[in-house]
Amino acid sequence: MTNKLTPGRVLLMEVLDVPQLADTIADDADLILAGINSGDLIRLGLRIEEQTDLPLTDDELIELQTVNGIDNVLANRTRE
Amino acid sequence: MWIPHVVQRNAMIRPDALALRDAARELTWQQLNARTDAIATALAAQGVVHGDRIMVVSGNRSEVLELCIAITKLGAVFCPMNPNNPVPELEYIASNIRPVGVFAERGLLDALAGRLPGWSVAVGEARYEEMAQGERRSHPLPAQGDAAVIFSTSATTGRSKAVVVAHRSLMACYVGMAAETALSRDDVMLNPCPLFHGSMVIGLALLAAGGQLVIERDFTPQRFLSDVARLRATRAFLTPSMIRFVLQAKSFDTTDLSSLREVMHGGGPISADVLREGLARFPCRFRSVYGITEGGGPIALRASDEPEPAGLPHLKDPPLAAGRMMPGAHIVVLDDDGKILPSGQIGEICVRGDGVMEEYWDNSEATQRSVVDGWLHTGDLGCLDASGYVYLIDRKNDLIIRGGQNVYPAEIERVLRKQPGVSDVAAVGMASRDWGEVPVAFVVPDAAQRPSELALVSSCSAELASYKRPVAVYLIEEIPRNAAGKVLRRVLRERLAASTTAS
Repeated sequence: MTNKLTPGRVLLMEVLDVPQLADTIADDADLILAGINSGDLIRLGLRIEEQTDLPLTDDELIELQTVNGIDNVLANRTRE
Repeated sequence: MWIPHVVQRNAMIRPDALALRDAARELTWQQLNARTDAIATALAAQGVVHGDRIMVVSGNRSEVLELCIAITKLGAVFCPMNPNNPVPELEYIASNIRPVGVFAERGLLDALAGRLPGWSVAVGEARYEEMAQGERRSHPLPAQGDAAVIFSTSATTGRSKAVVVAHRSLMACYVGMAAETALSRDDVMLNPCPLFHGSMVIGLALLAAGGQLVIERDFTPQRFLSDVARLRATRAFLTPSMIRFVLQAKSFDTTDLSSLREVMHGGGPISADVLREGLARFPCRFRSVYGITEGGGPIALRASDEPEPAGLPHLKDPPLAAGRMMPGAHIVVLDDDGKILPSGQIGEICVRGDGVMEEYWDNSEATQRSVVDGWLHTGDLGCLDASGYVYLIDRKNDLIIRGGQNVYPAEIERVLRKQPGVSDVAAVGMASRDWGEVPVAFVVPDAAQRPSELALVSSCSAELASYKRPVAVYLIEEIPRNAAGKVLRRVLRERLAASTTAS
């Protein structure tokens, strides 16, 4: 399976210990149910904070559950 | 009788004080007592009797604690499970402990449909609420020696073992923790660690002191920080990895942490760097908690404001002191013949006291290997210094501790060995900045069929919880073994260290 390399998926690949796993996950699939370790999602959140130099809000944290959600958070931050 | 006693006592003494909260609700002592009485009564009506085991498979939520209390009020045994365990692992655990029923969150319950014995109830849904708000009857108190909790732990054999913890052990944990750390009814403690983990006994000790326990659903450093400020938390229990992540969060420096009196940390050794930074930036003391599920949770404690330990001047680059024996947990260092070693000499750290487990469920052979002449053998190699501090030097077994969770190489090897194209396999721990250690696997491929790394990792995803999945699989020509055929893991670890240094 090859999914579109969106900014969210690229970022997910960067924080995963086994980056190839990111390519096996559909855009709207729940990341934890797809086998992503919750610790990797913590690293993802911190990486977004580091890149944008802004703390994540509660709403943004809730959104970081799918590749689409990561893309939304990144897009909104870029817009701001 | 310990858990029912704690809840009934606090409901009498301070009925309107908050006992338990999570993101969804708050419960006073009176409400907690009433709801757990009602759940116990409903379970009894369903046929649950003293000694029955009940599995609870759920992420962190207040209902898990509610079920712990309700089940033990009936003299039955609370068996919390990691919800990230794949279904075959949960089936294996169920085949061992033979539960009469299971509580699980809806998604898990659907995945488990027809796979586990007995009845099932979805946590937090209508049937559960009916049970919690139904008729209340009193039930005879269980004895202190009765089993209260069965924790599932990783095991050297590759299949989990079930650790039977009695009410007596939970009381011992409270007595030791309260005496040493002054737990009080004014405390508000954040607990983001999983409730299926042996560290949940620290939350029970806080409840026994009459304090308020806050259950965090999924740990994120950002939510942890905002909850400390919002709830004026006085204590927290975190793994070293969690502390590291909290220190990295952007909101750290702008969050009001002034309510915190103590950050307890355990689940694995903390690095000197993280401890130094934590002490410099948190406005409170830190306390190291060295523990083992089979020992009843914490067995040694060390607060950051204690005087410097005597230390181990004869060792080059000694580790940080893990703590001194907690009241009620007597620690010695034994040699291979079971003789007590003097301070400074390295042997196996062993503990005895009321906290020690009753047994491994239905596994007397493993129990006899672990508890010898009353001493629980921890599997940790270490020593005591002249001032009684415990130092962890190495492990007698091959345990890998990833972010506070235990992984045995045999668990990974069992899964990989079954995969097509795998001729031989060995797993070891590799140093990790974020997690302390992470598992990696070395695989010798079949001459005829070379498996891909992704296929091998995916096979682990299907059968192992995600934290047990190796972060890398290296294909090599031969697994180093000694003359007796035992894997030389040290050689593999050295190979990893050399390649990390080279890169």
